[in-house]
Amino acid sequence: MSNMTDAQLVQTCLDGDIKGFEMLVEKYQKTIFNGALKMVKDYEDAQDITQTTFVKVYQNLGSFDPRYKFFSWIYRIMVNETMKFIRKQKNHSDLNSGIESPHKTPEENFEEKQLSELIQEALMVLRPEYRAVMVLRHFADLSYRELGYVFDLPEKTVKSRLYESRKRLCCLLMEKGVAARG
Amino acid sequence: MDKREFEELALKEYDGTLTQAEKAKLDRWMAERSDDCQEMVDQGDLSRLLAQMDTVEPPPDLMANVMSEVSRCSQPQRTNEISSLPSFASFIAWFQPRPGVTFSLGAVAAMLIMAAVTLVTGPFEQVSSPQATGSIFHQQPGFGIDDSQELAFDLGVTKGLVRAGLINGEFLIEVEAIGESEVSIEFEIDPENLKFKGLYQNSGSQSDFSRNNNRMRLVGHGVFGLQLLFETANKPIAPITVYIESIGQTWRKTITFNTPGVE
Repeated sequence: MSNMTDAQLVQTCLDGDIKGFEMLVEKYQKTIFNGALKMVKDYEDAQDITQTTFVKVYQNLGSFDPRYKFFSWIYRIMVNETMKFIRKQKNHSDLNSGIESPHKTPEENFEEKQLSELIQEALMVLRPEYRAVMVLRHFADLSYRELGYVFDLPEKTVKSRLYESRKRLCCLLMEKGVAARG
Repeated sequence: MDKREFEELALKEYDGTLTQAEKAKLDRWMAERSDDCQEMVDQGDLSRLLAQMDTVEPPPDLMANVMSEVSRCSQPQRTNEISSLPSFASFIAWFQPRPGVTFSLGAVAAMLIMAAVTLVTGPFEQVSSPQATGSIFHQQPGFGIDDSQELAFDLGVTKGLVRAGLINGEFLIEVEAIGESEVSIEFEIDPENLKFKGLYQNSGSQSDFSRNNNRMRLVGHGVFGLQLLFETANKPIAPITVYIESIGQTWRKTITFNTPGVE
């Protein structure tokens, strides 16, 4: 079963063998989890989102169109779940609170934190729909076409969002003392 | 070359897919514009920084938890052949009856007949058929809304779904539409009963939104998905009337809710 394509694993599952789905979870759990984590920054929330994503993938497996890549479809569901989560969070608390330490200089911030953390913090300042494009392009390596499918957007809009996000992220990282300018 | 083309080529440069001719074009552009040149350098560094970001191992019990939840779900079944358009595909998938879900095909047929009646009777006229209630709509699993109700509409050139329900004590209306022409979706909602909190664009092309007292209007084009969020008044949800119009054809429906637990 380990040599099967995603489409074959989906079919196996639709034929009643849940092992096919288990293989898909095993294959994609890390990328989906990391995608969600970069979107929401919280380990447990990312875990919940990943779990919900896979359950929804399973429930809707019958509607998966094998003409599309399975991972694009799964990312699409993950993005929807993440956006829902962010909206819910926004209603209850400020997701960005605590991200910035206003009393410290960018140099102090940089010394205290790992590079990954600083980039993550900068990502969190981006609007969620822009952040999602960045995450899926740079960390999940989706093509513009696949991003268009995931976000239901024309490719040119995806590119423009991505360009704007990169530009904004550069500025944010410079403000944080991360030398995007070398 | 304009700014837009510059952005396109810059992205290609970061992706490493720039051709020689495009590179020459980009170099010529940057030689004359120091700001853009600096931007290219900054963003090039950004790619390097992003590549250094850690990848985190998922929790060890994640897979077991997923499989445990999945084992409680019913066996998924292949739905009918779907369209080549992804969002239409998801719409169809959404619309398909599934095992274990009570779905009245008669109700759908009735809705389509009612839509046809509406097309004949003209914009904003009352349809003589009984009002839709929650009882004829199935609750579709997997979309995160409890006690939700759905209305499917089909105006020929535009098809879609309106779904509404309570989620975590708040009231949410979701709209998903696909069509080749502009569509206007208007909700008549009692502001004393449901207080508007916000509008969110899920996907697709940008839509216009306007509201006036008890009327809220969305105008979209092509494929789009939207959510409207409301605060409830801690009492049963009052009926909501939905008007959908696309190139002169109108579909109207009233949704009434049974809202257990909200008294």
